[in-house]
Amino acid sequence: MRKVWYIIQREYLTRVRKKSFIVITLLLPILIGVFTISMIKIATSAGEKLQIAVLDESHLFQDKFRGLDVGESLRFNYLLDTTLSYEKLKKTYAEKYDAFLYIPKIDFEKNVEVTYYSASELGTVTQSRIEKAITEEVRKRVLENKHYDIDIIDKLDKDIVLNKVINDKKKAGDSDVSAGIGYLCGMLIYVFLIVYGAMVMRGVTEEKTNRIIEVLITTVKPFQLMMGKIIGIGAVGLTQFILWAILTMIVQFGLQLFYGNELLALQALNESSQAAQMSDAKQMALNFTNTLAGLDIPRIVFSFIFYFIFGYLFYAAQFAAVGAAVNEDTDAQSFMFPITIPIIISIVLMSVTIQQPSSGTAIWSSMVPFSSPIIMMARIPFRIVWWQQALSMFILVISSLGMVYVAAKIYRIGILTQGKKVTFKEIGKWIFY
Amino acid sequence: MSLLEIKNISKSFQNNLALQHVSLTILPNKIYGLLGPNGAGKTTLIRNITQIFYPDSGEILYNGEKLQSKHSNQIGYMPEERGMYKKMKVGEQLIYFAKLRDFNTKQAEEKIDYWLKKLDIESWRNKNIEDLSKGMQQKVQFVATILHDPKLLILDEPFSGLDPIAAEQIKNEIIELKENGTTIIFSTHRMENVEEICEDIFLINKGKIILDGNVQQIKQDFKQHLYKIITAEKLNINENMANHISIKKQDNNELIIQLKQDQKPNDVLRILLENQAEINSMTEILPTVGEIFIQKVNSNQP
Repeated sequence: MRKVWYIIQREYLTRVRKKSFIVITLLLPILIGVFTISMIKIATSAGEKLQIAVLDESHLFQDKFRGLDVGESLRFNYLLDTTLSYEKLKKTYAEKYDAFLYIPKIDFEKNVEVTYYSASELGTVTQSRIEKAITEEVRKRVLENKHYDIDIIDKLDKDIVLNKVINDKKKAGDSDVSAGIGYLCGMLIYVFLIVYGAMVMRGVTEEKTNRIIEVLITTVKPFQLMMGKIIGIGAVGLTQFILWAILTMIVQFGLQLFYGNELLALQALNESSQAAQMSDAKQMALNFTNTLAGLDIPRIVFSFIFYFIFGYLFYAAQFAAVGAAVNEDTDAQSFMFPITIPIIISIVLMSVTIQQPSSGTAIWSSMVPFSSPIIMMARIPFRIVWWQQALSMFILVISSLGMVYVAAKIYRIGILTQGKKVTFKEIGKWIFY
Repeated sequence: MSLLEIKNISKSFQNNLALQHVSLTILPNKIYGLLGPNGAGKTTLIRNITQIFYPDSGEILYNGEKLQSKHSNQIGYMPEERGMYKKMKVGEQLIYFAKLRDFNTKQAEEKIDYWLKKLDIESWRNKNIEDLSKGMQQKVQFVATILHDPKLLILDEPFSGLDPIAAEQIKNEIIELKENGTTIIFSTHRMENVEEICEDIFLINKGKIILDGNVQQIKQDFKQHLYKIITAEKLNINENMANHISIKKQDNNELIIQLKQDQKPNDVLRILLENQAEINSMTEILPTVGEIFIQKVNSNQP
């Protein structure tokens, strides 16, 4: 056991100390931070503080612009004195305002023309929000003019939200959020399986082609060597994910400190660009928080770690066997193919799963160990029934142990077979050797 | 008592019989040469001793006990194509190997210090293996092999790729190890090394031992009673000489002769002297291990 520990240590330390590991681990959270900041900058009109004076001759929009303010960066000032002409305004207020929004007296029988005067271009999101706010109001006024009941129209405009009762518990919120989280989890596991599986394979092939194996094998059993490598590299992956999680949280926290208002504004912007009105955006934000609260976070975290570990074990064993069977990295391609195919199919199945998490395809593919780490992970945020998850976990544990057993048999012989190219038939023989 | 007793072992891979009824006795504190053409079964035999493989039949005894994994710490093995982790530093790598041999870090450090100093490679300690030349890597590999003071040291082509100075250094270390009680089996194609270092040889071909014994004894056994005679002037061979001496080759004042049945060197000298030859020297030509190797392997061809 102590020897396995030394092997794990070596595999882990040599990789974690590599420059490429450190760079990638640091780069991703930084990129996320940079991306978020640039999103804020772009969305809030390049981060300018835009003071817009609204000149509304019909006095219809007095309250409508207050809701459009975005923190410090976008402010609407509704001018009560409507007698001033634009020319005059420009002279008087040029210092104070960056732009003027001129809404002439509205004739409901004709097209409404609203004009925006400014020295610089208006951000697209802000433009669409202004347009929406005015359109909405004008629409209401027109209907009012035609003697429709505005309350009824307001009600008609509201989307109907499904009240969901799952397992006798009322669940507020949205399937979209569950789907998003499911997708993210599945994707993470997918990336991990491919990247770290290939790393195991390359490590094994290196030992074989370098003949280090001949020295090692005199003191260590092949199985110890294989497990040491698989565990060591798995720990590298786990370290990377944990560091990513922590660093991303730190970056997010930093962003909150420095860009708190803008972040809130950005959230509101994102939501309002979908919803017609501010109240809807609020509703959506509420929805999101409700869904998050409704998610079984401990279950998701537990399942993620579980499927992460055993999915990795299941596939890393296969990669280790291939690494031992081939003589060069280039030979590995043809043997890698059958391993990666199920992983890629899983990703395709995942998008089906997320749309219909309880369909037959979804259930079956979340049981089969080749696809269960990805598919079951995508299903879990939908609160699937426990027995299905338990069965899937049981199958995965048994099959990953089985896979390790089979892989060890291939590994033991493959690692010492030099020179000739191996065939699938031969590998098959090794299993029963 | 023998250190290693190989009793009638056989090993086959699929349809290929790699070893057939091989028996060997390795006595302690000696240097053995394991010779054989490519594919003869040398590596398979070594792998059976290092317990990478287990024989299909027969058994191997170590110090009278059945060879088992607990003995692996008393055996050091340096494979022909050396293996090291390219991206690891020399020192770290040696510590790793030592730890796998049940050393603790402190013991390992001490040992490594000693050997790196001894082989003048201390300054490489913090270099990555991939930055070293092939010969340098070999020295490091040698240190890795002997770090745990093995009782039995198996070296596969230890001199390939080494410059003459480094080769001499390793050779002296091998001899010193032997004097300190290590038994060395050393597998090579380089016959001059065998003659210089080995006391005993095993010749293996097609999975069978075809010759074993003391190097000097084998040379005597295979000698063809050839002598080299150097004369002051080029000799004119007359009829009398030709009738009594079997002359293999004449080259200026050098003569190579083979003794006839029951003939003694003195008999040849007498004939030559009778014919007024002026002789500077006469020496016996013993076959080299290389010649014996080629002769034995060829005579074994079907």
